[in-house]
Amino acid sequence: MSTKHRLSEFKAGMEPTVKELKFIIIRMRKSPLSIVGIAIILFYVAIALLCPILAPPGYPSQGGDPYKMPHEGWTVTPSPPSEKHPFGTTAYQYDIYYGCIWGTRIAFYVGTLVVGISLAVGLFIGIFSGYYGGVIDEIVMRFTDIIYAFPGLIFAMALVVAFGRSLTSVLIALSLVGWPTYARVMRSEVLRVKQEDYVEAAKAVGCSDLRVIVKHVIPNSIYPLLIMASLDIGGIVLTAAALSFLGLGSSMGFADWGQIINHSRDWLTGVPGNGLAYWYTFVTPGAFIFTFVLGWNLLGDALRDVLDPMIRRR
Amino acid sequence: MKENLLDIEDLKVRFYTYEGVVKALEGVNLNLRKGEMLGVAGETGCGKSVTGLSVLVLVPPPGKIEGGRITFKNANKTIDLLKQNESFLCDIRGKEISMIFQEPGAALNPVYTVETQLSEVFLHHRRKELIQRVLDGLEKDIKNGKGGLICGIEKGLYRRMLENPDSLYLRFVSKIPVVRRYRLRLKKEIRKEIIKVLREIEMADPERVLNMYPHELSGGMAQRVVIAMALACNPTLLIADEPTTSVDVTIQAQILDLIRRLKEKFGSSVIYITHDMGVIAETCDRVAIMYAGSICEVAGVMEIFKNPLHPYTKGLLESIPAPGKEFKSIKGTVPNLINPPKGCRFHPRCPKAMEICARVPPKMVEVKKEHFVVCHLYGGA
Amino acid sequence: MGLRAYIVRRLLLLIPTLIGVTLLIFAVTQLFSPTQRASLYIRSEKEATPENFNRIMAKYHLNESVFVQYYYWIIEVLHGNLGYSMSKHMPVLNAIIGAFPASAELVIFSIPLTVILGIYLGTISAVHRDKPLDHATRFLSIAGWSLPTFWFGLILLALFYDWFPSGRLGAVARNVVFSTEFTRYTGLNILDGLLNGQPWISLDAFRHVVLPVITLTVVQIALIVRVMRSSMLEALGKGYITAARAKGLNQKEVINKHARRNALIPVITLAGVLTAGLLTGVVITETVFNYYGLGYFAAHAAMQLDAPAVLGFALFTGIIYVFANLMVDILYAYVDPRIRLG
Repeated sequence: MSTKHRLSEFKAGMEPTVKELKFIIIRMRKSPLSIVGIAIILFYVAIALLCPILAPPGYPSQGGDPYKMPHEGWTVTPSPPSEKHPFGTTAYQYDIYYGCIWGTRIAFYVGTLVVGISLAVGLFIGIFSGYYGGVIDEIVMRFTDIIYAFPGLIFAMALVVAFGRSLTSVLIALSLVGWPTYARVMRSEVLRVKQEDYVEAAKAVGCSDLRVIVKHVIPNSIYPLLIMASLDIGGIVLTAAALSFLGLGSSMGFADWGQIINHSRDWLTGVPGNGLAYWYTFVTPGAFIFTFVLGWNLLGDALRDVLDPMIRRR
Repeated sequence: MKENLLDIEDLKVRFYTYEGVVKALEGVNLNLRKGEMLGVAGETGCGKSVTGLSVLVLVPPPGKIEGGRITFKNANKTIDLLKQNESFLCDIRGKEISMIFQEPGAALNPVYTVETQLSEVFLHHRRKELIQRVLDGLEKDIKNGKGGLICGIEKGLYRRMLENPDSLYLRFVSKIPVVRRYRLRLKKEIRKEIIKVLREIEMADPERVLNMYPHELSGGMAQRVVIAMALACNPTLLIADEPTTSVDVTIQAQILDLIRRLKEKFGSSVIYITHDMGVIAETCDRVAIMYAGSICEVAGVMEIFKNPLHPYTKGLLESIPAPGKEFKSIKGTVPNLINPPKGCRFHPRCPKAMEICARVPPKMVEVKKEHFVVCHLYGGA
Repeated sequence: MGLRAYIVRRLLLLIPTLIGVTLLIFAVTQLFSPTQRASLYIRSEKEATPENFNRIMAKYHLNESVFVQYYYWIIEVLHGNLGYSMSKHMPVLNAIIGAFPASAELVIFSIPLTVILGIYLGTISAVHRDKPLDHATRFLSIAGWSLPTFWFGLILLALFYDWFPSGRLGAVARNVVFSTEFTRYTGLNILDGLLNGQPWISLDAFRHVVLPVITLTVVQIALIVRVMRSSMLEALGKGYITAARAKGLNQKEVINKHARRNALIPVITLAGVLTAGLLTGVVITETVFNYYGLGYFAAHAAMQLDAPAVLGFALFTGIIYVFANLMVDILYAYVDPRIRLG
């Protein structure tokens, strides 16, 4: 078969997928929520890419690591916003502006990595469990049951403490807590698709299991997972921030939004008589978290709205 | 000649979907005489149900009624239904014009009992009359000296209900557990009426059915309930949208019979929508044949079967299978109504298509007395 | 098959489900070594000595088969011995019971608020689909869901600490509540205040509960709005809606009477999940507002790697979820008669 032939065959095979993607994009354009969401995400992508320009690293206090926030001196009390520190500083004089800018990269990193791992692991296990059923299925189900028995955040906390407090521990803990949901959803979708006629037909024609799974089962069962993933990125960033707030996140001085707030723990409630005395220690970084998550949630919700009737149409 | 009860003129309905604008009805002209049963026949998707829903102005979104007039003779006035406001229409629906739906299971709300759903019709349209009856009964009880104080309170509450059923006071009172038993009297009156209607529908054991939920009813029983809901207030115009399509053949005969008898008894006029020509032959006085959103031919039942003029009608009648007859079908398929054929919508499949048929949509012509055709073969230009 | 028969059936099913939960927790304990498992049986700090461990291992047969171990463990559990929590210096059961009322108070106020408001907003959203009101409602609820809980809580606290302080009780009220003249019947301060004839205590407790409840409601309402909106949209597309309109019912009646009841079904499930989730602790909210309930207790225990406490908490969580599911199922059957047959 010549390359030209293969190419045209590929194009023909991709046509329905392309049509569907076009349909999704057209629908999404009509929803103002999705437009706002995408705009926010693009805004943060721009910030993440332009980090070195917006907040040039190279301060001596950083010790060569651009992800450590620079600080001048060790004065404990946070300093309010000034010309040198546009967003103010945390306790121990870490520059909040720098932290917020570089924290964008960390946020993308944490969100996409954890969701990517949870999605991949959950996908794999879910397919296996759903397609082959039997003993494997039972074992997997009981395993996920055990993980479900513990509320997610608390389980993650225990894991982080057990592994030692660091960003890597947070990533591992959140991935471990996250994959069962994906596995469960994938499994139930696979169970549903398994019954469909086109799968039976493919098997009857003699397609190998792998081919059936890759060509027929996955494309038809993956949509709920994609919706979950886009919503989860925001959720993971929120959880990671919460863990940082509880002191279980990255190390001191690390440019992570939740960690910025955690630095100024003792000043968050202000002084007696003025709760907002040290507002800058948490309002700005928190606003970054909020808008970042908002963008992803708007996108995910709009995606769900578009894909849902499609799923029902099937 | 009998007078027209309903006059549909140049009705246009469009559905705005993601794939495009579906021109579902394109200038439908139809009329219904008093006391007659008009059949509306055609294939699935030709727009019969949409026509029926348009009379009630109930076309669901993304559909919109884009033009035309629907004139209805209400008591002594003639009104255009499409120009009325919602509250006027709510008054008419269920009382003067009502509808029987195709799938009885879908037309009944699964979470409410039969009694609840039937009593809605009565509460809505005959409330004053029924409350008056309750009040009369209360008066009698007071005279006979039964429970003076409670009856007095109930009387007050019912008087209020007569004047202003939506009052805040009544709504508040209806939430208090013991006090709200005052509504039992009204419920009893309504129940009597419901049982009366169910008996007329020939429902076996009406008292038992009242407390059942829709999923507990068989297909035939459910359809009777739907018919009961439609006939509860003796409507002048009844629209039956394929009432027997999703029911067994044996039940079908019973229901047809029922509708026919009720029509005789109450003198209602009926629009009977169906795709089954056999049913039309049996029950209707006149027939309108529809294709792809417009009327093809309208004539008396006997006339149409004896002398079909429109090529589509001919094709339709010929394709009815009969033992010994060769199987014939109309070539081609129903057109996509987002991009319907120009001119006469049937011309791509018409064995007698002429050059003009692809350009100009034909107009309705009265070829014989009471026999109308929409076709260029008979001068529809 | 009536509602009553269905309830009885579900109650009977309760027992095997609860046993299942205990089996699950027990399976997790088997991941630890026998000596570690022994810590699940001690009742006070004094008992935590090596000699004692041997005695415990013998008494509860921790070196024998799983079935024997399960038997002895379950007996202890049924007697209320969930082990001793080193982090809290009291038996696990006492710690849990002590922490529960705070979480219960949060649930009692925030769940009804969230659900009722969520149903209302979800209905509006569905009825005005794709119009500005729909977009506004969805945007606001998604914004609520995107809020970092601790951030929102901190802002609320900073703004309103005068009227609505943190903690569960003010200093003065606290002295009274923990004194001998005051009986803590339920642990729910608002209720106890009334039961003790001291309504001002109830008022004080109420002032402290406002901000946490608002935080929880704002953050969670998006879930209910979303589900209500989509199930309402589905219900409005059904045949019985057109049939109801054909009977002459106006828009308000159609929505409130016919569509809503059918749309409530998925919302009930969600409300059950939310309730169970809240009861088993919202760590962040409790931490920010110093409202020490189950979440705070469990988080604390997890951070200290206090195994008996965490396991005891997990058992408690499992039981709560089982009961929450039961409530959801019964409510379902009340709303949707078709379920009663299944």
